[in-house]
Amino acid sequence: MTMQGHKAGAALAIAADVRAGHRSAVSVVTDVIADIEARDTRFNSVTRILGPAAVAQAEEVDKAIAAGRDPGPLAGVPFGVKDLFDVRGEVTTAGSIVLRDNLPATRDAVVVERLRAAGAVPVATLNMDEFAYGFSTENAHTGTTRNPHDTARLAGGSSGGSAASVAAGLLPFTLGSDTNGSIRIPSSLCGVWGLKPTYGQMPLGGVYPFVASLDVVGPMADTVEDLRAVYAIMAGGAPVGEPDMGDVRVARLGGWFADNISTELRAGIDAVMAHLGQDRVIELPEVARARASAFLISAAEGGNLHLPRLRRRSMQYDPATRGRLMAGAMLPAATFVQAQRFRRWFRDHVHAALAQADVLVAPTTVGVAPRIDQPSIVVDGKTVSARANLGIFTQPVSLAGLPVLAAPLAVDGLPLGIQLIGAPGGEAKLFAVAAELQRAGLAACRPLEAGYARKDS
Amino acid sequence: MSSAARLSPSAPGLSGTGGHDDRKVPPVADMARIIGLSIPVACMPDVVANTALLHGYADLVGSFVLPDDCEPAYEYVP
Repeated sequence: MTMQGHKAGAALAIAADVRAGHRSAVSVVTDVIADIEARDTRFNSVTRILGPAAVAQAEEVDKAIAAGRDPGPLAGVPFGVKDLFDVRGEVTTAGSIVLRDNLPATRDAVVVERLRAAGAVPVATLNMDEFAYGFSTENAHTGTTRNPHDTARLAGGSSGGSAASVAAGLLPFTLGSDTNGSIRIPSSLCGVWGLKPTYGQMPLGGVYPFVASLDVVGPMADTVEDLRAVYAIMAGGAPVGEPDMGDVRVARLGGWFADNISTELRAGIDAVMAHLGQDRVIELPEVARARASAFLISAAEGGNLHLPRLRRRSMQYDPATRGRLMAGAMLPAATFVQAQRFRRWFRDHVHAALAQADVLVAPTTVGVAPRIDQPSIVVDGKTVSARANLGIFTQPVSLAGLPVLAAPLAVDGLPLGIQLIGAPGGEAKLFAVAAELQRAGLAACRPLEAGYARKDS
Repeated sequence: MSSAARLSPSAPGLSGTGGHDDRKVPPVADMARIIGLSIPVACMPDVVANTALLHGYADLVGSFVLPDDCEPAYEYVP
């Protein structure tokens, strides 16, 4: 296995080369497409290659450079999007055949539009759980995405194609969505950096919805630098200055978040806290109910969203999704309202915790990626479904709407990841901690051979 | 609360006495009818299982006493 890190950020390095005329955008894009065609049969991370449109846009980037115009900070950088972002000229499927007869999108999703304006080139759509309702990227229509670090294992989900394509070195960055952990879980299991921004911060125009109360979109990348650059462009503003690490108070979450994790993961968190010189432990109250509330709100809103189609053509749905959506659509109003009221209660207590620390450290999953032929994890000594339980540490945080940066620990063997959880709008502090962990060698994305890093001959 | 209960809320209707306890058998067909949903026979076991799972979570959240002035977070600001 060839592992390459990119200290400067692979995406930023490509843009620098393209802007300087060392590589053409067209050559970058065509190389990446050829690489996907050659290697993605092992991973099944890509659902569609946007070949002609991508090459056409790359040509425009090269023309801009030739004409002396600014091609943008991500000039010629190829990227992929989870198949629920609108890309002009393409049908947005949300990982389902249910939407396949929809008309192609007439414009990009807002965040895709911003990245395109910055010179980045969408080259592929990426696999996901149907309608983002799952943690495993096992899709009856498009197949299972395999973990590049061990193709016998799950990539995680629902943004599994987005994480796997970065981990495989097929793409330097991708976009995903996170409702209950769908950026953080695959980022952790595939060993890439991911960001779930604060709820409500990112524009969701042109993003196929799942749970309006919880949906967030964000980037996944192979370095903190790339993640920060892409996030800033998606958010529509200049990168925010990062605080000095000495000014960032870090604590680890105990209680619920300290149970059930593997020895290696616990050791990794210990090492992170020791390096940061911080030993405070904070416990959030009623975490089980917070997770349950996120579960219920997701079921109810997702079920309601799909109810008209479930009435008419339920058999087109992935069986694993159909039953969950139908059950959710039938949830009593009393249950949904209680969950939403609990969310308000939980918010107040989370804010009390965040008065004591700026960044909370927690595991993302209980351990490494489950095997595809044994999709289970052990929780409280019991073997339980991975599909239903991979989110035990992410769902409670989703309910609170907090920003979370998923950091891949630099471990031997299969990837493990942690959540760096911040206060609302506190992304800058998350990036500061992430950059420090990357600098210290405690966290790192180690993609397989990165085709996009090849230079023109 | 036991940790097992935390992670795997009771799934009424999936085990135990089944139809002898109305509360433990989600009336899925009736619930579906109310919202105009027809559930294919082949899908019914999966829908029942998921409904039971959700009811377990609903019991967990529903059993928590909230103050009357705790409003739903419909327009949530983190």
